[in-house]
Amino acid sequence: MHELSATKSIIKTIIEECTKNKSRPEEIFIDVGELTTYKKASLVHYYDTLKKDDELLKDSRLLVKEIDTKIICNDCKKTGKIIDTTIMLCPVCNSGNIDIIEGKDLIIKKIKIY
Amino acid sequence: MCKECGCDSTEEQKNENKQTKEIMIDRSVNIANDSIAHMISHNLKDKKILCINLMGSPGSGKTTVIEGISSYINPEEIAVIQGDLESDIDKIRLEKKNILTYQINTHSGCHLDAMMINKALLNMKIIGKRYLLIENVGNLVCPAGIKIGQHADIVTSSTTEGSDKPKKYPHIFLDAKAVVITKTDLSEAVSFDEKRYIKDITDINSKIKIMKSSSKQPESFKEIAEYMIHQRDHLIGLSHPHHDR
Repeated sequence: MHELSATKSIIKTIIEECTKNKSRPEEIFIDVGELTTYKKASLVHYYDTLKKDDELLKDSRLLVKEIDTKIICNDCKKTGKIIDTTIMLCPVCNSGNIDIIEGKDLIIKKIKIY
Repeated sequence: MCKECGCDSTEEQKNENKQTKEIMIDRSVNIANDSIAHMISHNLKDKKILCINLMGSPGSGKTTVIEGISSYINPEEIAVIQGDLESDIDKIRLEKKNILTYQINTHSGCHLDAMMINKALLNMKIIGKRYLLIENVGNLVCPAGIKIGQHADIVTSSTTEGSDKPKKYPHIFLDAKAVVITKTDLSEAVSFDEKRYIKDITDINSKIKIMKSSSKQPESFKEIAEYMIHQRDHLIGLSHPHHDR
């Protein structure tokens, strides 16, 4: 449900950047981490709905990349990918003494403008 | 013919001629919220106030935990921000315990955010308090990962919800410093599988502190109060004997 407010926040950034650059957006690249509560399909759905009424945005596309969960282990010092997010253990040594390094954020990576 | 200006270019030709450029942003979508949350957290630390984000399902016992710890921490040292869709039922409950409480009604909103907390704090006299407990909207999904200025997340999880909650709702436990298993007097009646629950929750977060409480055993809230005192000491840099994390 809060994908709507996230999408509005994305749109605000797009408008700011396009105004600053006196340009129009073509593609907006978003990274959505697996551990966030945001879902790719909902972000795209809300974007496509909101852009229809906006002259600046109507021909643009939101491209969402899903980011897997990656950790660094404080015991064996290795990094690794988490397969099942209900088992947050180091895939190398099985330690729970880990820090999450990827998968927790919703990030606007870049905007392609023309 | 071009639809925009009437020139002879086709749409394809126009697209080919289009000069594109990429602007790197690399910024969190939640940056506005997170900046305010950071400011709140910083200001509260300066005032030597520990801020806890208390999360859990509706009816999991969040308000009961606050009532319970007020027997072990002077209520005058505690301030509470209550988040509910509607009503001030919990505010009235806590005011009966002499706890300063500010009610936020989110109406249809599923979680609190930093802007709401900032506004609440502008309307509260928190000078002299040592603990700010933010009782988030009852929900095991949406409040997870939304920064509201807290120094620590504590989750209440009742035996009556079932021992499968960590497996079903892992996000809420991921960053939590502690979980309180509430309503332990009902464990047997609802066949709560504590062993399975603890295994599943530590699979998600091996560093989580696990505590238990029951409103039928008021002394069970003492451990939670001591844990909060310990967390505040840590925050403001006071030394203390180390028994646990």
